[in-house]
Amino acid sequence: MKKAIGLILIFVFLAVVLLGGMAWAAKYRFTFISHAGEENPFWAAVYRGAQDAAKLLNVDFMFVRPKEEGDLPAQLSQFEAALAQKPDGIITTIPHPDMFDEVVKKAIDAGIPVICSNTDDPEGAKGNARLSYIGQDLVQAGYFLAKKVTEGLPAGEKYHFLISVGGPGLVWAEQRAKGITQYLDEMGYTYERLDTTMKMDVAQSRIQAYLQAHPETKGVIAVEYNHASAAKAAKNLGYKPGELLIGGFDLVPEVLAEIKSGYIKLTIDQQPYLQGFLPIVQLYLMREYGLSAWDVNTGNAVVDASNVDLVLELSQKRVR
Amino acid sequence: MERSSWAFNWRRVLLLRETSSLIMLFVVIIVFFSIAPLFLSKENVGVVLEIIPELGIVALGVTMLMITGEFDLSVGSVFAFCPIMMALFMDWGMNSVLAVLCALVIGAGLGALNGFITLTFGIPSFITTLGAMLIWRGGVLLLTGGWPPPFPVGMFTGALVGKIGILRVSLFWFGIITLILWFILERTDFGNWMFASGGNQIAARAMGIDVRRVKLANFMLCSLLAGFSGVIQSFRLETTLPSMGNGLEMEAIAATVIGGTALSGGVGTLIGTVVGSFLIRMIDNGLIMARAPSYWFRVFIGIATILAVILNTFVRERAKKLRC
Repeated sequence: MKKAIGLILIFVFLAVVLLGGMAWAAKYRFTFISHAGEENPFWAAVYRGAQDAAKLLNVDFMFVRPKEEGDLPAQLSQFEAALAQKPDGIITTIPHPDMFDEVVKKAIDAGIPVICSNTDDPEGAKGNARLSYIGQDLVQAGYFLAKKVTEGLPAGEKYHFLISVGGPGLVWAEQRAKGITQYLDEMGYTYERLDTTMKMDVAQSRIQAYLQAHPETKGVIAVEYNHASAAKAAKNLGYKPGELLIGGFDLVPEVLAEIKSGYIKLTIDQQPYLQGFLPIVQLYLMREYGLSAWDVNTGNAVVDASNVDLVLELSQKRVR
Repeated sequence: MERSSWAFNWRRVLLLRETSSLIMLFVVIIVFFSIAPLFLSKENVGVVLEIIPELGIVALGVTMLMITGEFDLSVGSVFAFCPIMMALFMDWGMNSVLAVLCALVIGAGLGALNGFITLTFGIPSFITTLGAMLIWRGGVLLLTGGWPPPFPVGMFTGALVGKIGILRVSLFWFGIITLILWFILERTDFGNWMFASGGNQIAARAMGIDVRRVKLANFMLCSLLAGFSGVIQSFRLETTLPSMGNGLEMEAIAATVIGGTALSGGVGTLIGTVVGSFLIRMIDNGLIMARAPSYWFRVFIGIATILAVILNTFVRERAKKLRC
């Protein structure tokens, strides 16, 4: 029995040490709930931004993510758990048109401000009670990307494109894909969507297989960061830099490296650091001075060979 | 009555397979409550109780199957497949009750397929259901093209997830299913056959038990419950997502093992599985309440799983040696 009691004591001790050290007293407590899984490198910059803001303003900040990328039921129950904790403010992504309507309203009715970051309800403020949206206009960004990638192609010809969709069915991915296909349709180009997952190794092998089966493909447009995987696939298959038009979103280190190598034509940066930093600042100002929330378009910053070196430097600091 | 009988009971309590997981449950509740008193607030208890049945019902099926000595890794995929089929049937104009029943029949059918392939070709169910897990997850994406079918308006959601105060009806379904399965397992011949089939197949056959039929029935039950639980979740969220139930199979197996069911079959307890399901969901929720980064969740479930099994073995061995 002694050993058994010892084991229990060890468990209690571990739990208290691990958890007790994490909570400290601060003026305000904010919680950030995201749909993105822990393996998603893009979110490191969001986290960094939020953490920097929290440190600057001396507020307690917690980041909650589901174990599996895009596990929305888990995100919803995490939201409810965070709500039960009665924080001073909640930041969330809204990756589904209806699922988060009720719970966001519940929070706001309870006097807890909710700010949306990164991914908004497709109907914007009409579709969800969140106070503001800090992120990219997703459809417009997809349209803009497709236009930029195909820029310079001789007119009148028909080309085929592969669209990499890492999160089929998720709002952020579908919205961008919508913008991309809108532009390709206007140009009369053909395209096919491929579920590439958010895991870079899986994405690479799937894109590589697709390119082998469809050698007529003129380019790969990704709604996420899988254009880095497309670049690696192109390299493996013996394409020369620039032969395949490759573009996508976000600035993970792999993407920057492939812009330098010339395989990626461009990437659209939505400046995730701001998506973490600004909501914390907004919530703080709302709590401290009763100011109201405001929308921010974190933008369509194009990164290509012309400015990649500057961005690389900032990327190492995890700011971009 | 007399002293000795009290001591006898104490020994029996320690011998129960559920004891160690129950101890852990209390420890976890006390630890989280002392760090974050809001953990036991009425609101948060409601939050936890509404997500437990969805894991618990799946874990009950996994436990029954594991007792007969087989695995099902495809429960997470069936969990998504059944509600999607239901939504598709209704999209094609089928009556809502009929659509749910058809989806559940499909669930049981997928289990029968797992059982048939495993038992006919004599391959490990681990392999069969690993394959099935990929097939049905892929099937969901194929059927929906990544976009879930619209969730029908005016469904009879009240019957499965209606709210009574802070509780949801799904909790009562969980209770009723637990009771029925407990009765089958502990009080009927079929339950004895299950333990015998999982413990020693040759002896079981010698006793005249149709091991194949017992296992096949449990494959079907396990898959049926996974499908039913998926329907419950889709009713609660009023949507059907292709990603539903991702990773659920591992959580269900963890709940089963934490509860005291042996991975090798032949031994197991449903009450323990219920406790295991509570434990997993409470750790998940408690870490958020304690404002710990979510990265800790896996670490804790890992520690809890190993500790539970060590405790279980240890307490029982000690209890056997107690002289009363």
